[in-house]
Amino acid sequence: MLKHDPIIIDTQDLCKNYNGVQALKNLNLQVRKNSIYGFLGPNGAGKTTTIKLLLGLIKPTSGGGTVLNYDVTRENMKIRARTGYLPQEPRFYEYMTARDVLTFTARFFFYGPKIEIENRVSEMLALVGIEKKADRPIKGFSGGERQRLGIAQAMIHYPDLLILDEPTASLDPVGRHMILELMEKLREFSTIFYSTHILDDVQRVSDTVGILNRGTLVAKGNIEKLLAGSEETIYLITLKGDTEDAYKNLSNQPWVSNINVEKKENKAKWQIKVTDDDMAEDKLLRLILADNKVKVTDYRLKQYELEEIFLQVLEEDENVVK
Amino acid sequence: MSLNENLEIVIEKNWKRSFLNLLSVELGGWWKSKSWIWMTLLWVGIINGVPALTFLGAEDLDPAALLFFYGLMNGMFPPIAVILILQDSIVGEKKSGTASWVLSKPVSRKIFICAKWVGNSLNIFITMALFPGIIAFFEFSLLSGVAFSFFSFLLVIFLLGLNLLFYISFTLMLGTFQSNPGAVAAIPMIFNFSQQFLMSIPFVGYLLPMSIYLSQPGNPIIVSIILGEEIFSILPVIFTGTLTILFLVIAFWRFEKEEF
Repeated sequence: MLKHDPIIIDTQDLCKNYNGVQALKNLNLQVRKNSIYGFLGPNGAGKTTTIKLLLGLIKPTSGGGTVLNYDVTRENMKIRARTGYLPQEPRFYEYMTARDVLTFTARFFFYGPKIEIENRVSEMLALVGIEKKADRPIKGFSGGERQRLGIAQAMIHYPDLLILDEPTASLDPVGRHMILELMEKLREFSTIFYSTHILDDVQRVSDTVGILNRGTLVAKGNIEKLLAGSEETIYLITLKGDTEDAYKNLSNQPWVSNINVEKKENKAKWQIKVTDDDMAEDKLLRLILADNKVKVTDYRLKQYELEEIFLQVLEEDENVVK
Repeated sequence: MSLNENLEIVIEKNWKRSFLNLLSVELGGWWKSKSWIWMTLLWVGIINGVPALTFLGAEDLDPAALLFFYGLMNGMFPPIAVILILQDSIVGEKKSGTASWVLSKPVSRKIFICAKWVGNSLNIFITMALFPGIIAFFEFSLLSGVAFSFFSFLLVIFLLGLNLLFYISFTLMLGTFQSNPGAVAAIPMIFNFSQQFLMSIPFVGYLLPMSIYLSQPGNPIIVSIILGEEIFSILPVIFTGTLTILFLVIAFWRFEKEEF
């Protein structure tokens, strides 16, 4: 995904109220072509409301937007013709088999030929790994199998845009792994916009992230930049022995801004914030090891996890509201 | 992964494609299951069986009495089944989430309602009016010894079908307003049974669907048609037809406002 890639989803101050309660507040969302956009947020943040607005299943209270350059209010049929959608809890006609569901879905997009539709259906069944259950009624399907079928029906027409609402929520680790791999493969053909609670998934496959909290987009951007997080670099060091002198020595360095110490049994864990990366790289470990009373058992640079960023952003938002 | 080059892509404005696709679901749910067998057996038993048991062996059988009985059996009771079948048609799909799923495809809401109306109308008309009606033609000819006109009988079958269409539209429309199937069923059910009281109100009797098969004084419309008599008024047919269409239009309007 590049900066000059066309914008596939573009909303301007999109709002939605339910009985006087603002479910979505002035959402300004931009999703670029061929990106995998992870849409994060706690329960009730407004993720599903956003998805339904983009598909025209509900109407905005104010504001608007375009999806694939079509207006979300006036041209939503055109949007749906080029979009694949997986609902949060996929529901199908229970008497149908998985093959029936996919054939039924394919017929909204293709006239025929019949053999090509059948081939596409078989391809999708194999792709999501439910070909052995293809001719069984859906009423006997587990949550995970329904989810796989839901993904297959969303992809049946190779849409330009895939909107997935919690795609891995009810899948076992194998199913989850398969779907994430599939999403990575699909990036070549489609843009993927998906909501999730599973932050590991986002960190693994997404290139862009938006965090929604109580109807407001509180953070958005490139995932690498987001994970880079704090301007200060933090080193995590585990030490054994008498660390008092090493601590004093390190504290006197002008490029060390803070040392957080946590003692456990005979070990000390230090979190050292530095302001000069080059100096730290060159001198930090040398200064500690210069003291013979100290042994270093672990030494690494702190990597931010998406979960930390996510919780931090939500916490900041809560404080702003208070 | 292959591309779509070998497939003929549906153009976005092609309503026929999505209509036929949705209609196939409505028809498939009925004709591919055993519903139609049970429904046909039930209504042939009631519409054809009860008159046969009542009038078999009767001397000097009055064809008007036989046809009146046929009209009553066909006009009064199948609407109960229609209401029970249709009460969940929209509400069930709204609650289960299948409506939301289908409408996430390139389908207009009008087409969704239209397919439900046409599909249910065909299913119900064939099993509850056409099959028993054709059997009744032969059965009543044998019982009464009168050679009825087949075309008159066919017209009557369609008029009794219109009575069923009225309840299909009525219940379908209520389903777009309500999310409780009980409430959706209760209103048309009460209407069905209260018509006999409403008929006593001057002029109202000319407007009710019940007047197609149970008008007073004189013969009901359907009996007059089969016996080749002049009907007492065409108004009940026109009014029932108009309301059937009006309910459908209201259902279209209301469903457009629904949020999924």
